[in-house]
Amino acid sequence: MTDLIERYVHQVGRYLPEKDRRDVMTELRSQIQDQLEDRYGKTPAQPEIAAMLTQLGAPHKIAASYAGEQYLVGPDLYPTMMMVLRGGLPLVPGIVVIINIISAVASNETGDWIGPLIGSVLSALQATFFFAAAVVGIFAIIQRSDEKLDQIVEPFNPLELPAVDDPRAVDRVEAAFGIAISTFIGLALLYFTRVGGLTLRFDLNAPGNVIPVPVGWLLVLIGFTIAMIALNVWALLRNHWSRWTWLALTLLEFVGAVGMYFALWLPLFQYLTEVQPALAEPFMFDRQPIIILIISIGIAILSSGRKLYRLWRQGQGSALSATRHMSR
Amino acid sequence: MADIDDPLDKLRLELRRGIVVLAVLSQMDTARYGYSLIQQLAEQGLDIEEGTLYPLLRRLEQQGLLESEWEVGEARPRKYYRISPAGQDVLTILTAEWDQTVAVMQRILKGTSHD
Repeated sequence: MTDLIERYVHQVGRYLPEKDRRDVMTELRSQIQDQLEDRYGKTPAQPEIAAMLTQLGAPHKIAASYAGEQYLVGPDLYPTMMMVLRGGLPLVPGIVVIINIISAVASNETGDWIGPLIGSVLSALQATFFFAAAVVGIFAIIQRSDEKLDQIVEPFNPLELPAVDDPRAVDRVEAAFGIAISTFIGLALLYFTRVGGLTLRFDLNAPGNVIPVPVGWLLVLIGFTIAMIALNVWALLRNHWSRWTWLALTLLEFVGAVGMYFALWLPLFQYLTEVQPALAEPFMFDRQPIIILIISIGIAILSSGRKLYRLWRQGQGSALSATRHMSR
Repeated sequence: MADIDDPLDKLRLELRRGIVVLAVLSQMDTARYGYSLIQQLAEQGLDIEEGTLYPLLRRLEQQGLLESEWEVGEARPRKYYRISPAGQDVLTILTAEWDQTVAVMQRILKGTSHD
């Protein structure tokens, strides 16, 4: 009788936290024996014990019942996390494939295209996996710090809800997406700083072919990335943008675009031109870094400039109405 | 364990979840061990699965609503649970809310609202 019960109780105990294990196992063993004795007498047959344990349920399910509800990312945060993943997952593999194409062009190897193709697909899968892991990890940390966040986050007040077209409004998904992407970029920049340049192989001991870049600019970009994460977190916690915080974010985007020019685009295209001199001829290839810089600044103007303008006008309007109110 | 793939089973589980807590608290004015409580509730018409009740007793104890004591003088060691003073207060409040809920639901389900 006891052998099968012991095996069952032991399996339940494997899934339990150590502090509760011994107590739960002793109690469960006693409860099973009470039940068996009541139903089948003092010496139940093996099939009877098995039938009762089947009714009780699989050991991992019983252990989960003792632990209560447990989750990595709870129902409050899950929809936001899924929106960030849905936004990022289609982008990451595409970016990696483009970088791989550039790498393939940069290499002098010719003929075999199957190897680089498989390598490109594997890199895309690896980057997608790391992106998803980073996003889930960030949301899990937010979930764990939920109690602390409650003390920092301002309590909900419907009267302070921004107007429908209020430029101060925080798009929570956009801010969460910004934090996730910035963290991902920050980690990549940190890795590049450690290995002294750009590479697609994320292995500190064997980084592969490293394209040297100015480390000073990489450190500046890491600083900007941290500042952008801090601003997005601040906006999420305060639930509104001020004109100064949005101005700071916009300036970081501008200067960040310049930093990317010096830290990434210029060294990358210089390297490509060196290893493949034929690339320098078509399509103003040597002008590509400055074209990317202009496009980046253009995107920053389009995405942030309008909101900055409206925040500024709203701020001036508020100041003007306050002055009129005081003069009455 | 119940098959919760069926929507009706899921709804039934949700409906019973709160009732089970109230039923358990109501029976704990005398010390009981897990299986004796299952029998006690079954005799009164409420069947609770062992896999639901045993963890629930521990959770109620962790919440301070039940107190427990190991009894080692019997054939096998048994953990006896009894309602705590805090649990008694909660039981009083929940019972009043239950009575009110039953009255409201009867009006709603039987369509005898006095609007």
